[in-house]
Amino acid sequence: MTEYVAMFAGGLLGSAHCVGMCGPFAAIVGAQRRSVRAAVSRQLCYNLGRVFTYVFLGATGGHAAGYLARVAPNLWFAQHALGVAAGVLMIAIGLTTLGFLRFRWIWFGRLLATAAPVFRHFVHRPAGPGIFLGGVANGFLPCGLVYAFLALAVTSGSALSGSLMMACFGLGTIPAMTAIGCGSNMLSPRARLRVYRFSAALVILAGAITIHRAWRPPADGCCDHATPRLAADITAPAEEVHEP
Amino acid sequence: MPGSDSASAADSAEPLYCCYGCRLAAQIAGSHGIQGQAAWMLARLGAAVALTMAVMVFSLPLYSGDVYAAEVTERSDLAVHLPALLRATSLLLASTVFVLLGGPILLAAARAARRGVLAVDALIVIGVGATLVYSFLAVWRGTGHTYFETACMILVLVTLGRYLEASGRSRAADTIRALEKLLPDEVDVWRNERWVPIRRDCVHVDDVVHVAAGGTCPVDGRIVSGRAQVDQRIVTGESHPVQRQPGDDVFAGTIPVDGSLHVMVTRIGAASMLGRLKSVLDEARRAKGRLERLADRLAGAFVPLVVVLSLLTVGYGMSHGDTERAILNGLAVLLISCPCALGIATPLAVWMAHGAAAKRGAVFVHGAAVETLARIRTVAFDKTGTLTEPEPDVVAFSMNDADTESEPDLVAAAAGLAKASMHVLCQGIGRYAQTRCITPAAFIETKTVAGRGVVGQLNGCTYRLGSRTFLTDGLAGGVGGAGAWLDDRAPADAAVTILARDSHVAGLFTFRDHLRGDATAAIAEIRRLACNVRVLTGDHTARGREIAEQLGVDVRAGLSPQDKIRSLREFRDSAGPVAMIGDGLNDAPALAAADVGIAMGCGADLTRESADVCLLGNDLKVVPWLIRLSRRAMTIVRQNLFWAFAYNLVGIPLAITGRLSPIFAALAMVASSLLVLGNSLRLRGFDGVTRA
Repeated sequence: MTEYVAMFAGGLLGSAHCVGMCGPFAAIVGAQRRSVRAAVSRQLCYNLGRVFTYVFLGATGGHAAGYLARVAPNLWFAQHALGVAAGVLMIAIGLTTLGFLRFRWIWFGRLLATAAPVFRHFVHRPAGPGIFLGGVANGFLPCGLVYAFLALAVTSGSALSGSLMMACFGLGTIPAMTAIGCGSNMLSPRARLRVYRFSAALVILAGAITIHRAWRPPADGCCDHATPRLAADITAPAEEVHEP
Repeated sequence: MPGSDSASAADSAEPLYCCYGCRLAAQIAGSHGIQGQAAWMLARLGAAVALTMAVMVFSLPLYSGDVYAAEVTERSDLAVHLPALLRATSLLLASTVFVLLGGPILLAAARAARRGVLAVDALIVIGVGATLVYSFLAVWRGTGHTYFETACMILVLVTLGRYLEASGRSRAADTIRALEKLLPDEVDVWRNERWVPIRRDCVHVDDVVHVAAGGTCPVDGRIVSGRAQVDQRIVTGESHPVQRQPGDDVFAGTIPVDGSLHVMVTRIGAASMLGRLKSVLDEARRAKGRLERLADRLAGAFVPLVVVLSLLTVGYGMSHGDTERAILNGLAVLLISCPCALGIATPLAVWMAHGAAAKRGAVFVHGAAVETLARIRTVAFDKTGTLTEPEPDVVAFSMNDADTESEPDLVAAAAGLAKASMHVLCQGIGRYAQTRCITPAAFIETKTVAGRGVVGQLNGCTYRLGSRTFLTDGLAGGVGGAGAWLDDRAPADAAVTILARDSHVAGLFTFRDHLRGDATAAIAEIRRLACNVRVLTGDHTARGREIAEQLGVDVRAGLSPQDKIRSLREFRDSAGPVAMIGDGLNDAPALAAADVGIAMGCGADLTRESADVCLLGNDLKVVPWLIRLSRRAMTIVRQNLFWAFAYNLVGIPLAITGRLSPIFAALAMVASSLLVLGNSLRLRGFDGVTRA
């Protein structure tokens, strides 16, 4: 259960990153609002689409990891490597948000420019499904934060827990994105900056903890769900191993 | 499936589609941008993708075994019913995907079947339907495997693959639409004594439209008032603006740079410049080159072969009692052997080359010309109007010693008369006077005899300017005693114009054509492409020798049209295919006789019958660029064909032997289409700098 809470918290804290990167999309969705109610429901459609993609990624990733663990048990170190990579990604994102690291985001801007017309095509409809599909497409845009948490979800080695973990992460990102999409300015610029920095620092901390745990998994504790699950999978009956 | 002309299909009233992809192509091309049916298709595809994702989310936990593991350890109600619930949900979602994507494919296949055309896509959908029925029975009985995500993935990937191919085709075909997009949608038209903005497609012939300075001329027409430097880049590819005044023609897409114009519409729709450009390109697209015909023939034989192979695979599997594996393997064979990749490998690259050339003011009138141009070994130029400027310059004015008037006065008189005529020699005299800072004399009344000369009165004297025959006929005593002088002075190999005052010959203008500025550079460029350069001219040998010295090329002078054709044959026999470049008017037979005839300065006159390629402007440097472009296009065609063959050669045996799951077969099919598409689209940014 702890890992689900951790994923939700991670999404909540990391959403400063989401607002920076995918904020424009939320703004496009919010641009056509007529009432507060309509605006919020549009934002929810869009965000649920996004979260749905994360769930899908979590399920396929978890399934793939489980399958790998079954057919190649020698790759046990892969999940540790994934955990470390996830932590490093989180720290990098936190540092970038704080301004200590500088990445060239030009390619991301280009990607947005090519993705925007397709996105708009879905979003310029009054009804929900179109916006939901826009959110689904948005979810596939490459994003460091998503990949960091996806790596964690993949280490679960199961489609079910992988998808549930990603669902928790996605739900965590919804409040900030919805607020931005509705054009909310509840906080003063100064307070916003402070929240932004605070959340970045927490993401860095989360990254450090992730690396630590991946490096040296506690022998007995809340977070070692991956290993027993994979072990159970290996002993699962052979006829259930079915690959589409 | 291969070998369809989406554009032609879109044009005709009763469209013929050989496959689902072609129908899609027509839909994309028919609707502007993402609208109409294509948008509906895209929305279906989007919904299907989301549903497929959901199917995977629901069915993957079944396969990872975690649900069953839970079932074994704790026998809670949820754990017992969860697998059944997941399967039922997957079944529902997968059926929706089948209706969304399989429906249109089956409908298209039914239409094709009525004409006796076999559609591979339909077989794929039927195969997918079979796996769905099988999975449904498994859910019903509560035992056996389900293939919901396989079915959904295949449908999504097949549709995505066809969609990509279709949009690639229409993108290759829409160069003209790109030009049309530059035209303003709204036009100011003079109606009821005021300017009224109306939509461009509502303009009629004889309407007068207003074109502001810096604005784009929306129609083909004749200037009724206003004069301006007009940028004709879009039509001729030339960057220098030209002066246009009332009475001159302007084309849609040209831009008056420094003044506004009122233009009376002369041609609209299919008759307009862009309309004709479009029909010429469409026509060219229908003509197929050698490689393209080869690919078509192979693809034609390929489709039945693949269907037979697939059915054999299914039959073999079923005879060994494994129906579900048999169906999956048969599906994989159908999916991996994508004849569309074979069908689009050549046309896409050739069409992209057509588009890239059209953007630079070169129009392939015959589609196969790209292929031939890539193999060219000898480039032969006509001289007059091709290597040289069409307007000759005055090199000398000789005065008849018998005349008493001063030389500048005679030149002034000649220039004054010359103003009355548009003849190229008269314009040459005007330029000559201008360079010598002589103001043309002001004639009150002049009379032009078309093609022969001008007569006018000045200060009580009658001046005549024209050819020798004009003067012999016009003067009372003919050229009289000046005949010997003329014979002596007039060079045999150059054009001359004679000036006469009253009844005696006053002077003689000698003309000489001069090389175009870019001739030397263009010829050097062509040589670098390992092509021989030859000049064929009907001019005198002396002038030919001069040109040969200036350009450093082999010149054959004094040739009759038959001689030119004979020379071309000789070049072809000794070196290989020959391209002939001329103005397409007086050298039409030579252009027709060459393997590729390139006509220069076609402007609006796109359909010079003898030419395979029309250059709208007079830029000689386009010629080496075109050769590079064609070679590049053919390289890409060869790469595409090689890929299509290699891919099938490896993929089909894997699929037949059951080593390739249908999902990966479908993925490989999409990847292969994308590869061919992306490879061809590289031609769009062709700048000629890249080595061919």
